[in-house]
Amino acid sequence: MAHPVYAPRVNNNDDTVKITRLAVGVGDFVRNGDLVLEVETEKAVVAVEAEGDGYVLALRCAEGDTVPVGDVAVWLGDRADEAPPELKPAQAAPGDGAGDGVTGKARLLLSRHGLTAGQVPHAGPRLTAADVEAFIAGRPEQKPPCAAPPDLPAPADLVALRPGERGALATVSWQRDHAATAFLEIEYDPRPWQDYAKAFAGDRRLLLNPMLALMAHRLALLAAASGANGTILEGGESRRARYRQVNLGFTVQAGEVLYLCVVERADSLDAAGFVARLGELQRRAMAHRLAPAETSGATVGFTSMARWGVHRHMPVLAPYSAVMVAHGESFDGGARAIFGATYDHRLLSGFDAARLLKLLADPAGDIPKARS
Amino acid sequence: MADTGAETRDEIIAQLRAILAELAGRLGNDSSMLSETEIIPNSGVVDSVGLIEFVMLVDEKYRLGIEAEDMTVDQLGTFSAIADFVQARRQFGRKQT
Repeated sequence: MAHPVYAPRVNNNDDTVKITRLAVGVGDFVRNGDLVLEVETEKAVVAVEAEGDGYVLALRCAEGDTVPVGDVAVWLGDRADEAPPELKPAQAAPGDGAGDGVTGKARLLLSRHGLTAGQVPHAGPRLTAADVEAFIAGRPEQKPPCAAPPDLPAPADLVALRPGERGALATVSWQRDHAATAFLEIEYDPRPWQDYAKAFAGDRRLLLNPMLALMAHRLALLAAASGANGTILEGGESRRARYRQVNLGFTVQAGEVLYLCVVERADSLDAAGFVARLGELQRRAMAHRLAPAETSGATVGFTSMARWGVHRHMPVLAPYSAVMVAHGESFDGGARAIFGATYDHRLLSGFDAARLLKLLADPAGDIPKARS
Repeated sequence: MADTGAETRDEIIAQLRAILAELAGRLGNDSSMLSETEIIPNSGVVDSVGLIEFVMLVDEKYRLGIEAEDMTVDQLGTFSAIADFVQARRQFGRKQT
């Protein structure tokens, strides 16, 4: 039986997605959780994974296509020789040649290569296997999916990346290829934050120390009021995109996997609501039960390596974001600590980034009015 | 090990101690001196992430269905409170709101 893999909804405002990568080919066998394709909108890149084992029967899109959300992108099946639903005679569109005009062998080949009968010219009255083979032979040669680089310093085994690793690679690559990153840091006294978090937790009898969550929430409010909640879109005439909501990305290390949990519309939540929502996401991340939408679409990021005793570190920007704030372990008897920020210099100046961190360092400070 | 549903309160506390000791040990800490009523987050034997792991393991073991509103010191902050919580859930199930 055939199972569809749909083009997912990434953002509420986007009814189409662009296929940036097809990680499978017709005839491949995929397992539950394997990457099938990647899609992107202006705000995020999302990996779409198989929800069960199966053979790839047909590809209904190509890399670079923009497709409506909810369209079938790929068909999977229990058997490699199954015909995908669109190629079954009963469902074939008029004039596509399926059914009486196509030989059995030709239909099998079409299915294996993700083709429809209408795409393949035929010499005689019926479409034959020879027609399909000739058509395939005449197509541009496809590059091998994983060619070995020629200058490795030693013999190596090439291993496909796991979905989480591919996501991390996409993030780092976006920064390398698109952002003009810079980094700065400020030193601050963390004790007012500790006192504020302690009082906040005490009033609500919270089990978990909410300090990092409260810092992240304040960052969301500051970002909403500044130019930090946006990105630069290139291609043709460059444009500045200023997001209408803050989706706060917060890193959670769960075993070997690093997640960026995303609290949507963080700037519309009060502190208690934000702390509760982030806590829920953290617990789900630790159990590896986050939904794809809960790890995509960050517009601003916050990360801490205090747990590992790291005082300062230089984080990587989430794709299509302009700032990622780094929190570190306090030092000097708890009297000093550092906030760092990796920021996209195309959107923020050093002054902007430093001002953001200064405002973040003071839990009681007013949030400046939003820029018009 | 799965929960049998038949443990006494003392047995639950012993199981909780074992779970926490494992997590504290990973951080090089010793939780054996914690009393039943000492507030675990204040003890420093595990950090916030360790505490989340502790709650998750307890939730999984006793099938408690812990939700955001349960994440309070009064419900889950001490061995004694957790044992009460486990027994109350077994007896009455999740409180309807």
